[in-house]
This record gives sequence, C-alpha cells and structure tokens, in this order.
Amino acid sequence: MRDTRVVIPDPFDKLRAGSGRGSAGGVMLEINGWTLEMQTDPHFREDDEACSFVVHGVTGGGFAKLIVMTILEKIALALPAVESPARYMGGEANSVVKDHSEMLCRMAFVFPDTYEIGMSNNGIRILYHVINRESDLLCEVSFAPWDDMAAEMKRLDIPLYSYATYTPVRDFEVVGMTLQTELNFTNVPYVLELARIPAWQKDRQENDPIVVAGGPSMANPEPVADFFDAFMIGDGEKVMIDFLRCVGEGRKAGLSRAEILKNLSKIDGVYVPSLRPVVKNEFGAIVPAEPAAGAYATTNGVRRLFIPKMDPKDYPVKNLIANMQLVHNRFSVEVMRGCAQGCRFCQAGIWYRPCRELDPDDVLDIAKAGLLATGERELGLLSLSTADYKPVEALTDSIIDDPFYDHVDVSLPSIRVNSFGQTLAGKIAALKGGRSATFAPETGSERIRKMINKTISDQDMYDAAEHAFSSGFNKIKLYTMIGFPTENEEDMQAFCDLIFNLVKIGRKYNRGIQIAVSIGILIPKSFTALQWAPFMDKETALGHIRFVREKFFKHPNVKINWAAWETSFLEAIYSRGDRSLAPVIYEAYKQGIIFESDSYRFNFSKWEQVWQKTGYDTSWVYRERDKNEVFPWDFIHAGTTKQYLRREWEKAFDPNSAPVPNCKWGDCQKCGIPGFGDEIRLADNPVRHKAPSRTPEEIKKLVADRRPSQKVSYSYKITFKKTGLSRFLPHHNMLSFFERTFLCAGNPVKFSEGFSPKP
Amino acid sequence: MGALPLGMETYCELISVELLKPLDLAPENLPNLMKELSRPFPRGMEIVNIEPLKEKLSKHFPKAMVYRYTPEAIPADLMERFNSKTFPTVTNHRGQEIDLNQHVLSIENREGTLYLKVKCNDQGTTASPFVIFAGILGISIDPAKLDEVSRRFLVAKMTMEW
Ligand code: SF4
Repeated sequence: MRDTRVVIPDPFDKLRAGSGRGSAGGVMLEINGWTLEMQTDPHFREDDEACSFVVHGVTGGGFAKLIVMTILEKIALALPAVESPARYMGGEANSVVKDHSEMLCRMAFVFPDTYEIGMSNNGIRILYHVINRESDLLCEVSFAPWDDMAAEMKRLDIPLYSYATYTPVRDFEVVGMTLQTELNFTNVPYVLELARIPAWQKDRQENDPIVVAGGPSMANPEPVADFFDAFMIGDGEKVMIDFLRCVGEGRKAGLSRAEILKNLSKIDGVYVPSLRPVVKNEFGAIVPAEPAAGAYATTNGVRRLFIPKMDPKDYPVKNLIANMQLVHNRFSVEVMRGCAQGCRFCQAGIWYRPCRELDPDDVLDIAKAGLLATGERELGLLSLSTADYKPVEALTDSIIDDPFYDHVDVSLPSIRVNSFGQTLAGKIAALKGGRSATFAPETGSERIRKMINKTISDQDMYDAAEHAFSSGFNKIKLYTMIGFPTENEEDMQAFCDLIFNLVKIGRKYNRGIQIAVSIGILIPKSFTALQWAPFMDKETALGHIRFVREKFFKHPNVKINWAAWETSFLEAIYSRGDRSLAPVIYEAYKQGIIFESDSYRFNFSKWEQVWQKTGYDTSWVYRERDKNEVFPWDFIHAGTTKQYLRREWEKAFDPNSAPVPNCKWGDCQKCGIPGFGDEIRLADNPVRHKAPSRTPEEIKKLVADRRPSQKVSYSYKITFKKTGLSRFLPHHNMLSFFERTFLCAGNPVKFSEGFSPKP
Repeated sequence: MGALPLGMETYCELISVELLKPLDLAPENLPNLMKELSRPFPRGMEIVNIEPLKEKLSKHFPKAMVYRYTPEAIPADLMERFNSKTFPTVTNHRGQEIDLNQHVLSIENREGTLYLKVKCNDQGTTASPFVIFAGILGISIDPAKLDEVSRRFLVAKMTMEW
C-alpha cells in the first residue's frame, strides 16, 4: 500500500478524476502534459491546502486517467446545475479581449454582488472604458456567484473567473472592487476566497494580486480596511490609470509587494491602510493616529479626488451587453456630478462636490451613440438631482425634437420638488402620457426639513403636486425618512397632514390618484453634518412609523412602505464603524451571511449571534458624538472640511439660522473645496442639438404625427446558431437579443416569432 | 412556438421578424449584414442566414431533425441493432412510449460523433434527443428529470429537413 503525492504545477489547473479502468498493471496519470506511472489501483482525493492530489494505493492493478480541464469546460459542467446560468456564461457582446501577455497591468474588476446588479452599475462601465482604451492595460469583469454556483465552483474546483476570457481572477495583477453599499461588505471575503486570494491583506503573498476598492462606500472604508491592500478615494477616472501603471511598472521592475504598496500610497487619492497607523480614541474606537488636517491643497490626509470637469471622452458608449435582464436595463448618461443643495443628512451631497455638469450636446451625442451600441430601449439621465441640471428643459426639448427617441423611454429620476416647474412637468406628461412623479421631501415635518436644510416648504410641495396632477400625472412617490434628532409626535402629525393635503389636491383631478410613501430610517453617515447624531432606537423609530401607518391604514389613495429597522441598524453600524468590524464581517460571511443587499436573505437573529460570538458591542450607534471626537474616517480630506460640517451640525439646532442656499447658483458657503465657486461647471443650452421649446399640445401633436402608420412591414426568416456557453441562454433572453440587434441597426422589430419545434 | 431546452446547442434555430424598414439581402451585402446584426449577441450566438418570409413560420413543419452527440463510447453493435430494428422502446418525461426503431431514421458515425436523423410528428416536433441517445447507447437516465439531463448531454441540433 502506498500513497503518492502528486503536486500540480499550477494550483488552478487542478484535475478531475476520470474513469477508464482496464489496462493491467500500471496506473497512469496524465498531468499537464506529463505522465506518471504507478503500480497500484488508485482513487483520488483532492488536498486543497497543498494544491496537490494524494493517490492512495490499494492492491491490484488498474488504470486511471486524470483529465486536465479548462475553466471554460468546467463552467459548462457547472451551469446545468444552477438556477440562472446566464449569470455566469460570460462572453458578453462588446467585451474587450486583449492579449494578456502584452499587458503592463491587468485588472479583474470584481463586483461583490450579483450579475444583475453589477452589470447595471455605471461606475463599472466607466472604469471598464477608461482602462481598456489604454493599449497596455486591461480590465475584465467578474461578479459574486449566487450560492448554487458557488457550490458548483467548489465541487468542480473552479476559481472565480473573469467573464471575457475565463481567466482566474487571482492571475490578474490587480483585483478591483467597487463598494456601492455597505451591504456588500460580507461579500468581500466571500469573493476573495472564491478567487483563492487570502481574504486578509496581511496574509497575502508576493504573487497575490493587489486588491483595491473604490466607490461610494469609500466615505468610510475602515470596516473593510483589513481586507484590502489599497483604496481609491473619490472620482476614479484618472487615478485608476496611475494606479495600474504603478503596479505594472513595479512588477516589471521586480519590486516587492511592500515596495509597490509604498509607491501606491504616494499617488494622490490612494489610501493604503497598512501604512497609516491607527490608535484608540477616548471612546474606544479605532481611529487614525494622524487625522487629516489643514487645507485641501496641503493636507497630510488622503485627499478625496474630484475630476475638474466631466470629460465626454471618459463616458462609456460600447457597454457590455448583459446576457439576461438586469435590475436597470438602460443606457445611462451622467449629466451632472455633485449636488450642493446642502442637505445635512446627505453624504453624496458632500462626497461628490463640486457640481460639474456635462454639456447637453455631449449628453445627446453620447446617448445616441450608446443606445445604438447597446440596443437599450431606455435612456437614464443620471445625477443626484437631474431636475437641477441647468439646461434640463432645453435638453428635454432636444430629446422631444429628435424622432430617434420615439422608441426610447427617457427616465428623469430624482426630480426635486422646487425644480419641478409647470412647463417641464407638462412636457414630460405630454411625451409619455400618465405617469408618476417622484419627490423627496425627506420628512413631512417642515420643522425637521428646516433642521436638515431641505429648503422646501409645505406650500412648495402643494404647488408641485398641483402641477403634476394637473399635467396628467396620476401618482406621486414620496421619499421620506424618520429618525432625525429631536423628532417627535408633532413632527409625525405634520407628516400625516402633508400626505392628507396632497391627497386632497390629487383628488380634484382624479379620484384614483396614488400617493406612495416610502419611509426610511435615518442612518447618520460619515462626512455629513449629522455624523455626530445618534441612530434612533427601535422602539421610538417603530413608534414613529406606526403613527403614520395607522393614519393611512387601508386608505384608498395612500400606500405606505417602510424600511426594516434591523437592516438600518446594521447599516448604521457599518457606515460609521471602525477597523474592529473586519473580524465581525468575516465571521458573518463564514456563517453564510452574504448578499445582504437582498432583503429576503437578511437575518437579524443570525447577526445577533455573530455579534455575541465576536464580542462586538453595538451600543455605540445610539451615542451622540463628542464635538472634538476623532472619527475612523478622519484620515480623508473630502474637500469639505470637518469644521464646515460641524458648523452645519450646530446650525441644524439653531432655530434662528438662515437656510443654506445651493452654492451651485453662485452663493459659495466656503465649505473647504478650493476654488470658492470657480470649480463649479455649469452647462449652457445645447447648440448643435438646439430645438424649439414646444407647448404640451404641440408635443402631443408632434408625437402623434411621428407615430409610424405600421401599414408597411417587411418579414424575414432568420436562421441562427447558439453554440458554446450561449446554449445556456434562456429562450426569452434570446428573443430580446433580436429586438436589441434591430434597435442597434435603427430598424425596430414590429413583431417576432421564434420557432423551435420542441424536441 | 417552442423553446429549445436550455443547454442544447443548435445550428439551425429559426426566428421570424417583421420590420418597419427593408433589409438589403443582396448576396454581396448579406455576410456583412449578418455579422453586424450578430454583434450584440453573446459569444457563440450568430445569425447564419436571412431570407424574406412569405408566410408565417408556423405554417410549415419540418419532417425530420438531425441531432449530434459524441458519446464516451459507442456500443459495438449499434449499427447492427439499428439495421435489425432491435432498439428498445423507452419512455419520455410524460411517460409516453417511444419506439426507437420508428423514431430513428438514420445513424451516421463520423469518427466517434453520432448524427441521428429523427422523425418529426405532424406538429414538427421530435421525441427528446436526450431520451433517444440514452436509449440507443444504453445510458440510463431519469426521464422525469429531463431538464437536468438535457443540460448535461452536449447534444446539438444540426439541421431540420422540410
Ligand atoms: S467651495 Fe463654495 S461653491 Fe464650492 S462646493 Fe463648497 S460651498 Fe459650493
């Protein structure tokens, strides 16, 4: 009896034991092209840790063959067993495929959530574009597999792979992630371990990739600091390239990992956690030993980067075309970055300052090119507040004027109440028919709105509702929150009064109108004026929600939705947590707490067990912060200073303080961003795509005149093949690809009939 | 309109489209047109022919289909059993009996890859090729779990005969 250890040269080229008994005498192993012969009849056991196989000898003769399989072949074996194979097929249209051996640096962009969410994300599209346009750099994408695929990947020994070339993520020089929400944190160690990369930064070896993250959660990366080698803080378009070149050059020059990290830390906007010492503050929180001090230009902290202007060349056009329906199936153009309304709870309002608008001619050129390149039917004009985009009305006129958009649904999200003028409302309604408008008053109480500097009065809301309903809108969605400091029952009564009054206005026009109220719970966030605020305890928070719910119980015109307090509590821990959270996050992942952004999977009692097991005390979320307290994220200089935010916090509780205006229109508040207003980039009306401003009646006529008579049509029979992994494409997705391809060709499909006589 | 089972390759899938503008199907333009129209498809999916359509697709039904499968081993007596019509009768996922001797019209063995011509019924459909291949090769499958089985066999639908 003999055991023989077979070491596999490349740990990712592990083997699958095949069958084929027969030849007497020797045992034959075929491994990566070389052959071993042994005298026993083996069976095989995979030894993961050593990346090797042990062949246990037993008496007797026999023959065994180990077959080396590519990742692609293994995926083909895995996909039959999973619920949604299109998620993992890869090979998306518009994928960039380059010769890996020619690259200075390659990055696998791993989205730590599902394919449907990741492929809808605009940040991933921008970075995919700006990296791949560089001839010596490469970016390929990958996504977190759902449990069923993860199980198959373990069974078949498939490491996390990139979707364009099925290369193990671990083989890339850099693994990048975007953290869009804290609810992806537990997926960080999950995807790293699926990629066979040590989850903890300290455990990584010289040949492991540099693991970096960016995205909105960088406003406090500390809870996941121990999982990453580096973070990119702020706008990533430019720094991403410097980052990859630094890693590529370092690798080429044979620098050690530590030397490369040191070089990375010198790049403006790059944070290398292992190189920034931390201490415990007087409240027991782990905070930077050297908080960012001074002005933005000279700070010792890590600067949050912002690009000076929105450059149309940085906008992606040829986006990856997903193999399945996504969360948002649309082509998006970011018309504006930054919103300086000055709402005191809003992190994005500070994090994305200053306001920079894209020229509307560029918006329209990019939109058309992108819609043709992707065949999407919907255009999203993205920003934190699109109705505040200076040329919004002229842009809308140009879209209405161009028949190209007749087949495109144009969505204008995040409309602000006081920007919702009569003319724009009327135009949108004329173009699209009865629709819903979305307003974000944040709270129904005018007192609290003043406190958080939401400069909308109740009367503004009534006027906006009057405009919307009189223009034919039949539904208003209200985004609101509870849980503000000092909030009480009087505020909740004011909340209800607002809704009652909106119903009254709506019913004048249509008795069936709907007011859909969504109630969130305030999560005090880093880099906001409310970063000193406590999170509201469960009893009070649920009491305030109940107050509103009971008033509108079974109301025919009002629907109330509310956030789960438990999820908000978890987010509150994440959003202002420190480095001591990393072991908690790791334990949660090990307990199977992943994909937390999926509310169906959220399990609060499991979390309570994790906190108990790790000895993590969560009670700090209820504490109001000390005036001079150092926060875990204070190593970042966001542009806006901590002193400015503190002044805003104090103004919130001063009944005599004046409202803070939107600095975009010229009233600089000296928030700390260098420029005092010069850095703001506003766009003018379109020139190349200038269009007349039409009345709603004129728009209705124009739309009617342009509607195709549909009398003449042309029928074709198309034969196509579906081979390789595309054989896992579900039938309905396949049909939608035909609609898409003819939209790309500017020749929309009137009708299609698939024909596949059932085998 | 039927859906191809997930996991089955096809080289002859059909779809009809009605468009608002005509396509230029001139022989010198067709290859480029097909290439351009295939551009938004995932890797492996490609248009191989376009022709004008006079009648609805579902007005005509194919008479037979050719399926391809490469088994690990081919029984030595396969052709003998085909010629002597001694294939077994198997059951499909609905419990219906399928006499393989009647359904399999021809078998071609091209270097270990089998091409099976299978008869269509009057609706233009054949019995499941997975059940048929399993039957002639003596592989036991659970017809009730056809969906799972069908994804594991790399069967390709090659042509349809009209
Ligand atoms: S510096 Fe002034 S104008 Fe610029 S973002 Fe800050 S407050 Fe606004």
